[in-house]
Amino acid sequence: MSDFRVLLVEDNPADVFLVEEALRKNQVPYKLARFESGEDALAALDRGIHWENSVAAAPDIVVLDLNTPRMDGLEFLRIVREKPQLRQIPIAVLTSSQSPADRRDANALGAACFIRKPARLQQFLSEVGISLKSLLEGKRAEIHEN
Amino acid sequence: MKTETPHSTEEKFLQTAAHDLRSPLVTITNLAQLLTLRYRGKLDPKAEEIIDMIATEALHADLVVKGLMEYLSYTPGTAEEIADQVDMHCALEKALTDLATMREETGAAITVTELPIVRARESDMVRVLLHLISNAIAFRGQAPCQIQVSSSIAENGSAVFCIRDNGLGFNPKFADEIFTPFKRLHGRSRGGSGLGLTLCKKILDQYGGRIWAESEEGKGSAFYFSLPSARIRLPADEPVHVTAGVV
Repeated sequence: MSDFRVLLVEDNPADVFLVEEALRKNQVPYKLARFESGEDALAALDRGIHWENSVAAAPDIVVLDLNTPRMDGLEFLRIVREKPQLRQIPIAVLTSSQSPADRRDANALGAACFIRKPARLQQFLSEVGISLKSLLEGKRAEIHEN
Repeated sequence: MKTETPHSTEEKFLQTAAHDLRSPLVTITNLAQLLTLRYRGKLDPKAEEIIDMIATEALHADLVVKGLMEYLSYTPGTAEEIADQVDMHCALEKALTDLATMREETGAAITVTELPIVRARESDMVRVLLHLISNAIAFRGQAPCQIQVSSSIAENGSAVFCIRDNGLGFNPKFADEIFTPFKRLHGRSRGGSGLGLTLCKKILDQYGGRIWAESEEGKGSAFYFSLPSARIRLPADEPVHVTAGVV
């Protein structure tokens, strides 16, 4: 099975480390492209991302922190929604926000799921890993069906 | 539906500050736990102890900040919202669903008698029940945790709800003080942000309701809250039938 292409928008290296840990713990084969802000990620998506020197391809999933420099996560969602070529990519919001308004706005802007970062490690690894895995497997199944 | 957002610049400022504080706290907590998980038995015992302390402290700070965020983001409902009909059984079910992990971990047994339908915003009632029941579980004693949720109609027609536990209890001299922000009567290991009861009071104030507690050290506590008669759907003279049931 080929690796899933995961685009992670996260400015904190420690959180990148934890997301990767969650993917590994849940046996998700992946290649990762990481950007510090939504702005950088959008520019890369427009240019095309080369995953470990392979041919440029769209990511299978975007994992998005809401609080990133220059362009926040909600703005990123808003822009992606307007781009037909990106609209099909599932976006998982991963945030420490407790605000019901953030969840409502992210869902309204088409986020595939909204994960509040748990402070308990086991919960973090399982919730993040399982949510991302099911989104990725769902997408793969969809591609096979078509 | 109106969402709960801060309504002043100062509150927005505080909420953003709380959020920015929480983000690294969650990460520190998770990293410290990961360190423990990966290197347990491979480090000097003192080092393990220090890592555990870091994780515990960060977890506590996270609870406080989370409580602060919940408190600051709370906005009273509109006149229309707080006039909704709420079946208190449904509100209780929702609160218990949110507490499923805590209940499983502690084996807390919850019994409930018949509860009325009231006029309120459902999320408010869920929140009050959730804080009171999670406190009852957090401050449990040595005996298996038992919690009773019941209701009655007071002489003045108001509905009185009671959450009674068999936990640690507290000295009754603190019965009023526990509703003030950050007042804690037990050690950090019991969890809690110190803001849960303050938020419950803030919620009930908007309904013209009350919240109070009775307790004795070592003999459990009973937390009561009331809603005025105008907020009960049943006529004040109709008795509330009390039947035992287990949730």
